[in-house]
Amino acid sequence: MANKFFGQYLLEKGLISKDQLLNTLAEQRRQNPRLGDLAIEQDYITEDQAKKINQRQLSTDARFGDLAIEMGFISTEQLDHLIGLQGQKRKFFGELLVELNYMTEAVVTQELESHKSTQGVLSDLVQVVIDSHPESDCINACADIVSKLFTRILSVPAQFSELLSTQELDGFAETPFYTSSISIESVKSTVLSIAAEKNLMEEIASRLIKMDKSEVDLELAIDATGEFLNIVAGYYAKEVIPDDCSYKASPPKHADNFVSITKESADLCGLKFESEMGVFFVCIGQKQEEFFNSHQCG
Amino acid sequence: MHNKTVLICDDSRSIRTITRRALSRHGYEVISEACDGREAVDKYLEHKPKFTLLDLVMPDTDGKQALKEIIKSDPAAKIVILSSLGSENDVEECLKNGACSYIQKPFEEDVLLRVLDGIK
Repeated sequence: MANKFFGQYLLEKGLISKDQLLNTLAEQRRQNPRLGDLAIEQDYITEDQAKKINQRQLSTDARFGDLAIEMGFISTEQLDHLIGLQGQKRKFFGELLVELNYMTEAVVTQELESHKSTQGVLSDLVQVVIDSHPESDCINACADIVSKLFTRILSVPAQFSELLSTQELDGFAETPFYTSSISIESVKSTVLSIAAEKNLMEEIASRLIKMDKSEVDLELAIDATGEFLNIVAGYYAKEVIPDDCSYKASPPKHADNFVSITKESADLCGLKFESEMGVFFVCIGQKQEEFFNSHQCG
Repeated sequence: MHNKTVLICDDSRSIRTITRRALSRHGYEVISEACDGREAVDKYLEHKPKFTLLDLVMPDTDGKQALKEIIKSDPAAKIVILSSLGSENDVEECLKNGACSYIQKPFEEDVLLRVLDGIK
């Protein structure tokens, strides 16, 4: 599962101060070569072309390298070479903490170890189905994040068991599901939704808030499930959206039927999870209007 | 007695409940709650709490805008971001704009208390 940004993890633990975090990021930016500078150094683009790309970046979330290709300044092979060079020269946050004498190498190593989380293991069969899907990276990330967060927050394991297509999800139109949806706007807009029956949502709220289930009303149950999805969305965005692209997430939107998900999202895939508390679905889709726009463009 | 008043700003009733319960158990006084960014700014100005816990993704005015407005009116405000977003850019932007610290959800109770206790 995607980790928190290492600097924020250390800040939460009180091991570095806010100023040390900001200084280390500034130093990282100063020392790590930018793609544009490397492209100029390699004679792939001129300074004028770099300025034109920077200008375009002001009005779009696209990355420097992608724009350089789109504007015909470099080839895909040249971009791959530049990304490779950037990786070789990159200094990591932890390395710079040591360089700046904010932490010793031993402490950084120890904290990096505890910062790491173990990778989830999916069944071979499910993994084969995911890998053949065009959005396999997003599905893998989502499956991993949901399973781990469910276990961590609610102390009950949730196993990803099945991947469903839009048509298969349509079959749940009559099931009495409540849903929450969040849209994440970035280079590609995504709608993440969760669907579950009332009883499971009440269990989620009861465990999340540490409150007796009898005290949980329906509104609180849906709110808590939406908040669980909100947390999933934060980790998901960090995992699938490139670091140099900005994104914006919407507050959760709730509904009392499953059709709201299929109506508002296109190109949907549904991840079915099973836990001892019941079955729930997390769906990944594209916003309807964007789906139609992108298909009209073709 | 030390001033341990807190304003909780989050559009999720669940998060407000969890946070209020955790803080109340440890001697903090939750003096008010807000469920969107506009209300967060208004309630901050009304109550002037010692600590403000601020979510980023909220309806109407979002948390980033509320942070800027609160800091503009009171540069000494002690604001801790409590958000599901946790990218390097989000953390850096909020700290640069005056937040004291940043906690990513889901959070453990002891993390929240350690962060608040550590703020001078």
